[in-house]
Amino acid sequence: MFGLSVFLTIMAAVVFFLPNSMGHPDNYIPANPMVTPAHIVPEWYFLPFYAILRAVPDKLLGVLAMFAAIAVLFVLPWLDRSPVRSASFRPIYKIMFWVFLLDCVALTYLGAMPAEGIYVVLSRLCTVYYFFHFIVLLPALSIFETPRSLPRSIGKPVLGGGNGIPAPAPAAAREKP
Amino acid sequence: MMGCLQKLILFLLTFLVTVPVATTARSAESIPFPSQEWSFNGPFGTFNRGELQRGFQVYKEVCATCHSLNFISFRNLTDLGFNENEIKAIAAEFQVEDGPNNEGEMFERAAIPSDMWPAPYPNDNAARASNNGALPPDLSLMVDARAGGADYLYALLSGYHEIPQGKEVGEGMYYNAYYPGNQIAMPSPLVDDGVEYADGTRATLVQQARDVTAFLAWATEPNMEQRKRMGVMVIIFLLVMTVLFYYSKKKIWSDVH
Repeated sequence: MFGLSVFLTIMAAVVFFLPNSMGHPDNYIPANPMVTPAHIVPEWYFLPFYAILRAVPDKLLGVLAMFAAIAVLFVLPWLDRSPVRSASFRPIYKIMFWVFLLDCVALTYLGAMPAEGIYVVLSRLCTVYYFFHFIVLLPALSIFETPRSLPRSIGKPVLGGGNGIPAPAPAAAREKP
Repeated sequence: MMGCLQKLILFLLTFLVTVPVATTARSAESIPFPSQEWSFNGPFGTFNRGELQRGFQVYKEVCATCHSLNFISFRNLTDLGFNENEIKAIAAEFQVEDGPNNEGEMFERAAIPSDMWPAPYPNDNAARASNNGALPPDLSLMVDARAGGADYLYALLSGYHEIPQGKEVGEGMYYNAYYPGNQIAMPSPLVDDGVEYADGTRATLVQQARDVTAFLAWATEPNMEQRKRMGVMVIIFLLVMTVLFYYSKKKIWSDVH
């Protein structure tokens, strides 16, 4: 509830004081099929995928890459075979997660920039890393990474252990081998 | 392990870095213009009624000859501080088409406060025909419809200068220091003492540009003041709620942490 209320406060600040901060002035101009804007830019939450779309020189492959960026999330259970689910106990994965987040931020930035010069090169690098993370890194990490030992039970720290309440079966025993 | 607060700050930073970059990317292409102090800036900003009324006068006497204001009706002018009789008098200066009457005919009548602001031209083609092929855009959403908003409009209106050496300006076009491409089809609309302010303020060109920009900012978002007032209340409420939740969370989890 505390987290939700922090989020609501930030959201309310944006809604009431910066309602146009994430829009574009073009949205206030009446649509005219005879005049298209000089640059088209999607809403900010589509920018990473827009950057991926523009990073690929081929039209069809670009569209495929853009949708693959989402589709790759659906096969995550088969890509990430690590026996440990929580990133808190996977030291290398934890670092790679932040690198991946940085990559997404970079893609967002590049999606908003014009597709020319250094921006094209950078967005190609970032796109390659985006797919590298899912297709190469995740399966490889689940094989080579040694996770830290899991706590015996999640119920123990929460319920305070030994205060009379019987702890549930150890979580490690329920984890997939 | 990374604390909850640190994570939150990191995500916030990500958001704060990404979004402004994403939205200002486009305006980087236009010519930079100075930003101004506006009474309606910031979370507590309000419109200055005197400025709005002067700006309305400039719009009515200058801009309205070419530019429509389609989303504003006469009764909206109460926001500017006009009373009912003044608005009726302003509306009565205009003729609008109404109908059909009992005979099926359209007829002209004097405007009433519930009418929308009448457009200067019946359609876009008529507007182009009388303006050398250029279409004067509708001004109702102008401040939000241009990158830079009020700052840009003010810079544009006060940015008509002599053509600098080495610049070519096409026939029927005018030089403007801040218009993208520097060639604008609108001749400088404002001149010193072009209008005579009712409140005695000296009508310099920059004064008129300022006033009419403020008026257009109001026309773009007439309920801005209400939005900000509501926002302050909502934020205060949420902050109090957040503090309560924080301490109740601390209490509930005190055994664990």
